[in-house]
Amino acid sequence: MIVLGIILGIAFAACFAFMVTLIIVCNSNDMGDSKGSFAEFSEASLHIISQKDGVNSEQWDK
Amino acid sequence: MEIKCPGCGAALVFDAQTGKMQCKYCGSFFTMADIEDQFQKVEQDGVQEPETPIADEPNTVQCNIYACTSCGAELAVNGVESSTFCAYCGQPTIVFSRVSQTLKPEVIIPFRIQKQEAVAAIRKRFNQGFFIPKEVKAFEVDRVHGIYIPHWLFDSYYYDKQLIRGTVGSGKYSRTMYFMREADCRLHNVPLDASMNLDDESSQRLEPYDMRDLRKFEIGYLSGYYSDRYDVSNKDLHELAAKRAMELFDSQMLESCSARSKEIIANKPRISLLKETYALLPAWFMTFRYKDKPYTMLVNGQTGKVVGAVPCDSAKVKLMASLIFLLTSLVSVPLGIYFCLGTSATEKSFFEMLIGIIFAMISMYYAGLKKLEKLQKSETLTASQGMNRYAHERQGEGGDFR
Repeated sequence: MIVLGIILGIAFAACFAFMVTLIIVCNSNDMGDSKGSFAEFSEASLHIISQKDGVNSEQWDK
Repeated sequence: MEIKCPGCGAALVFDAQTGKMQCKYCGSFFTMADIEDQFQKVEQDGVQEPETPIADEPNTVQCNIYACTSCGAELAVNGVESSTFCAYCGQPTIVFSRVSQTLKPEVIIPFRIQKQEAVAAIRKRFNQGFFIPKEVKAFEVDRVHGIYIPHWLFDSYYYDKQLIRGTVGSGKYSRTMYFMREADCRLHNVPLDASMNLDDESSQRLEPYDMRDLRKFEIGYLSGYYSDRYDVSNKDLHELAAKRAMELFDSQMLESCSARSKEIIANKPRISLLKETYALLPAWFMTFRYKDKPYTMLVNGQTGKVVGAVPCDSAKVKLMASLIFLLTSLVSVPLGIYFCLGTSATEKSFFEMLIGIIFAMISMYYAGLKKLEKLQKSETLTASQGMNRYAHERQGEGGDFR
């Protein structure tokens, strides 16, 4: 069980280090990673005509 | 044709800071109205017609020959050029007949960022990058070109009724929920680049442009910069315009649902393209070399936004990864041992937690892979020969001209 614990700990640390390092590298070396958003191309926000939460497929068909 | 200073006869160039035409020789400034008057006068005198294009021959590129009005030299212009510097005397020569022969741009956003400011913005951004190699930070500028990129600006109306699936709650209380949304919107001036040689991804990353700064096209704005003529028609971009409108619309629709892992599972979209405007938008292309490979960084000529990706300092990356790994291990290994010893292997909760930990690890690994993929894609675009060639050809020095 101790060996399993060590393996789990090391694997977790490796995955975490891989993800965090790449996030930091991306922020450092990849510049201007964004495109124009909805707000920049629309004078008004989205005009919601109708909305319903928690619907099922039968309600959708209607 | 070249726009000359009414005072001393030297060539005028557009000054991004003042928004006027400047004579570098006598220091005079002229408004666009003054230039338009001068241009009309010259047009009445007669514009020099371009010569007949050279005949097609093997291993040659067909291009038009223009005479430089300043030094009299013959100037070869690429088939997609509408203005260029004279390769011989370096004067900003605007080949207006080229623009008028095709479709004249309706609107333009003039350059607001000057060459030095563009290079300074790149240097500043590079200096902020911890993983950028020192050699890259101390780059020597190979070429800097201010290029007006042709765009089609689309106005559209978009309507959709969507069924969205998402997950709400957490842990044992997590459940799938469906949302119905019906909405519409009007999108204005969504830009799509109309140049076949420039990658769409690169041009879209130059956004946003402040469209309030759009001006009626005046030939004087081109003076001192390179410009490209559209080689993708508005009709060819209809599909892409609809796709872009859909992306913008869908992102807003998904945002309106309070859930995670959201996905549109059914919809009934309707789009109408209302208007298309031919526009020129400004960008700086800066090329530098690293390990004998050219990299082209882009800078939005209006806002100064820097776009591109550069290679990493691998030693620093390895050091950072090792450091994070060691620090995390100091916590995760004892926790792992404690977890395994403290819970009986036969307990149901042990397997549930084990699966949870493995799932978390896979998620982290996947997130890292996605970032790596994105970085590699950006770097490929920056180092692409196509991008370098795009900037290079518009200077009139590319292989096509020799």
